[in-house]
Amino acid sequence: MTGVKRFLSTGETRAGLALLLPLLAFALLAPAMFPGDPMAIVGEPLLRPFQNSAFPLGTDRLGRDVLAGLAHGARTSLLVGLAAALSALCVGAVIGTIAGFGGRLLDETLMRLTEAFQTVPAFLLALAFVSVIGPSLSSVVLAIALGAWPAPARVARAEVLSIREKDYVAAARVVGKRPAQIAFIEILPNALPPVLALSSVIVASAILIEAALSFLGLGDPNRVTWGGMIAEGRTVLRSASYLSIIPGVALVITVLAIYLLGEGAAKARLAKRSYV
Amino acid sequence: MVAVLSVKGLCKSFANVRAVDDVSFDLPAGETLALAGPSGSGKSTIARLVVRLLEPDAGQIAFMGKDISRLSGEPLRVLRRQFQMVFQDTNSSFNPRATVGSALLDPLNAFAIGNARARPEEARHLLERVGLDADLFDRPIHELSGGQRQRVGIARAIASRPALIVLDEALSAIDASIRIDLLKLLIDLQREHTISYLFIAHDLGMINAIAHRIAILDGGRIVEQGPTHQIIQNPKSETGRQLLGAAARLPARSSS
Repeated sequence: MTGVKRFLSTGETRAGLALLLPLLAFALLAPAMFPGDPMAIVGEPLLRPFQNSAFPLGTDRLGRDVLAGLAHGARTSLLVGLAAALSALCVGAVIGTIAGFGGRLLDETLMRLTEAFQTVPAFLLALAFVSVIGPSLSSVVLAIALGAWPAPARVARAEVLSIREKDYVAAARVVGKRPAQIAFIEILPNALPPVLALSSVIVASAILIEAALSFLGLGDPNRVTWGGMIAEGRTVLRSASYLSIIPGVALVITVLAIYLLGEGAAKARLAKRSYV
Repeated sequence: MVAVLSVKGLCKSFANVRAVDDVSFDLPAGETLALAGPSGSGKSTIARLVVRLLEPDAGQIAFMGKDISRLSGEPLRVLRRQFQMVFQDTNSSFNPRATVGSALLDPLNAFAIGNARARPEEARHLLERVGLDADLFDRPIHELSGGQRQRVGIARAIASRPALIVLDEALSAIDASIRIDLLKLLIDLQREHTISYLFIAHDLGMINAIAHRIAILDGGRIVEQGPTHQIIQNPKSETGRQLLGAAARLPARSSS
């Protein structure tokens, strides 16, 4: 628990939490604060921010509430970011463990596969995948995870390669544990910390890729997304630039907050090492 | 009577180094054979070959008359119940997340020993048998002292009631005052359960206390083999004399 304390005591973590917690509350409370369809037309179009107390951030080209869109968009961004990162980390950790523990042939095969995925830019991979499968929340999550799993897989493999030479792995063999038990119960949990250190970067890039896909019209059409809002606003960029700027700023704040949390965690880990 | 362990012509090389070169020995039931030799003489490699953590390049390892030198997979896993190992470094030979209880339940579960519900009770008995408090069951292993950890290591090794235990420098890193207790414990366990020990060490004092026979290794070969008292009293090989003289050769500290 001292690890958590150390994590919470860094300036980066505090700044990140100060940004992320309100955002998270905003996203979680969106259905309560803005009941009804955020895509419904509720007022006069192109109302500027701070002019009508019913629509604090104004309305868009069609008269939809920008603040409601922002709140519901936060749900999509965070949900997609977390789901994609979680699946990428799980797949990566498992594949990395199998590669590191399963012997040369498996290792070679899986690592060549990982390299093949890494040579294709993650965004293009996601773009191609969604174009083929069709845009929906789950296909966007899958598409992003598809480009994000190689990095955790490589980190996990490197860690497993060093752990599997340890005495406690030899001891597990001697006391009759089966290879799968050794790989996933003895080794994998001990290989996780450096893999988890990647999570903030993966979540942040997943949120950006989701926004970019939505911007190109490949997001889930039934959900409000920040990328979609920016794309909408682009058509009236000169006359109503706030329509692009507001979701853009939200995106920057979210990614910054997650990045800061990752930095905080890295700093806490470093501080721990210097104590020991 | 057939030997519990009978090794013939064992060879193992790493890269270009012959770590173990044509090693042969027999270990009867309930006896202790000590492997002694300077560092790099191949003692630990033999230990790991015998419990089949390594595969030999050539030679036979007959365990209760059955050659296990080419065994692998499930048949090897099942047979491991019969030959266990205690490691030297108690810091690294337990999973950093393990508790005392989970370390002892590992062999009981893996070899399906007894009724699943009776296993925690059995693990507590094992703890008491090696001189530890059964209340340590839920404690993380890293909170224990080195001596306590090695007791857990011994309890883990006897959990499956093996016929052979390989002790790879198991007491070398233990505090000298506790070492004697652990030696006594090992001797008691051997009498109780007729376990054979392959006892690897470089300290002839310790070996003298526990071993029936000694094999002295140098450069991967056995240079001398015989009953303990004979080798301790009259070592024939240069290595044997050096090992024996190592303590005596240290000059006394002069008072200034």
